[in-house]
Amino acid sequence: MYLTERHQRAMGSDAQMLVYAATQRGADELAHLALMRVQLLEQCWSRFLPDSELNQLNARAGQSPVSVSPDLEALVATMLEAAAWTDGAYDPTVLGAVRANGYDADFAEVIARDSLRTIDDVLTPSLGTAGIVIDRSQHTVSLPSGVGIDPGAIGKGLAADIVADEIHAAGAEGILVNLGGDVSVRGTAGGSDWTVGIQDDRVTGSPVVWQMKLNGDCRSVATSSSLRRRWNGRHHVIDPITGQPSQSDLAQVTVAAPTGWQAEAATTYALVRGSRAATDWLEANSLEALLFPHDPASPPLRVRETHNV
Amino acid sequence: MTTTKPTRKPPTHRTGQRILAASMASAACVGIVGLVGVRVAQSSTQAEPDDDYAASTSADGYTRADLDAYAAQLNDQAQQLDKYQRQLKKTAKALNAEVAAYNEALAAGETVYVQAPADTNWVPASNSGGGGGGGQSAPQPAPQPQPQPNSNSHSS
Repeated sequence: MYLTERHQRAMGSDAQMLVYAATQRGADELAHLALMRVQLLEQCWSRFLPDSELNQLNARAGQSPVSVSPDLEALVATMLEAAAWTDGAYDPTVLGAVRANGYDADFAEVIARDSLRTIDDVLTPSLGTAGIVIDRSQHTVSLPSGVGIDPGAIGKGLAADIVADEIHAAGAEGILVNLGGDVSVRGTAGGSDWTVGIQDDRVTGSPVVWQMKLNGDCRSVATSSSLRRRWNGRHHVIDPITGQPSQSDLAQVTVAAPTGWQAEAATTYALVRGSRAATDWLEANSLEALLFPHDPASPPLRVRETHNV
Repeated sequence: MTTTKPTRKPPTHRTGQRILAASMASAACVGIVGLVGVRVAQSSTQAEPDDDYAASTSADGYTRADLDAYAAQLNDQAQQLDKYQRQLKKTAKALNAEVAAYNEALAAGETVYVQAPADTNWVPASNSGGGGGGGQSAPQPAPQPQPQPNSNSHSS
């Protein structure tokens, strides 16, 4: 078994691919193709690329149905499913609120300029997904007037799922796709389970405090934190009810789930709704999780027995 | 034998007739000119819709050029995706063929040689520094040497 590792900047973070294959050349080529696929998905889904297909769809909100590519159709369908699954805690229509909070460009640009910028604390509740219509037969999407959609981290989670599925189907013995903390795996790590280390962002240096093994139906893990992507006293996890950064008792959440997008939607649920509601919801959905309170002295709360080592 | 009579000279027109003829001719010319003018005008009005069509806006306020550009972009995306999928199929086919060759060699009892994987010194990546938080791949098992088919190995 041969292993190849490749890195590339993509989707606003570091994209890491680990591919096991029967030959070195096969592993190399599959890793290369995995990164190529991430780029194609980014071109389609990014809200930071002005002429991305997603931005063109947002620009046509309130107008007639827009023809979309299979990738964008899959993203919108997944966003709606995630919104319904999380009872609206994950809401792709927070785009207006995200922009109102100053996160309207690539994060590096936001960081560079927002130290001097004042942002009003205006409540901007999201409009919800009720008016978004997908026509699966015509491959069109209609957005209500005034509604813009932002995949948030769901985009990275779903991208990791798609890439892992396609590369594994092409013959990889195993693949790990890590898009800035959204990890999806398929197959095995050279015959063994995949192991993912979980860092604690509350502590300086973000030490790895936990390790999770991914196998069987548990093939993805995502970690969201209100401690990263901060600017001007704000963070990127928006509460759809207020349109403001969430104010729950949790600083960081890690969830392991069957798919990447589910893991990401679940972390958003927990960060927005807080530890009490999250514990019930995660247990009801049979998801394994680590909930980190704001106080670094408090150990992470484990939800459900996990396969930790 | 045929006989011919000299052609009878047409009667000369009187002045009034000439004026009438000239008038009619003028009118005819004007008519032709007018007709041509109308045709030209018609053709120009027929040409206008093309320009208008190109510049006209849809009910949503998009010009034909906008819509064409969007269609071209979707087409370009589809082509890139197609290129990726073709490469993926090609890689999958090659990989499958190599594995099949290896299995056939084993089944036939041929001597197979062991080639050490090139990438045995793999170390885990450092913190990715992405936006999601604290997930990172931990050290994975190092790849183990594995027998390879004759065609793809170096004898040792």
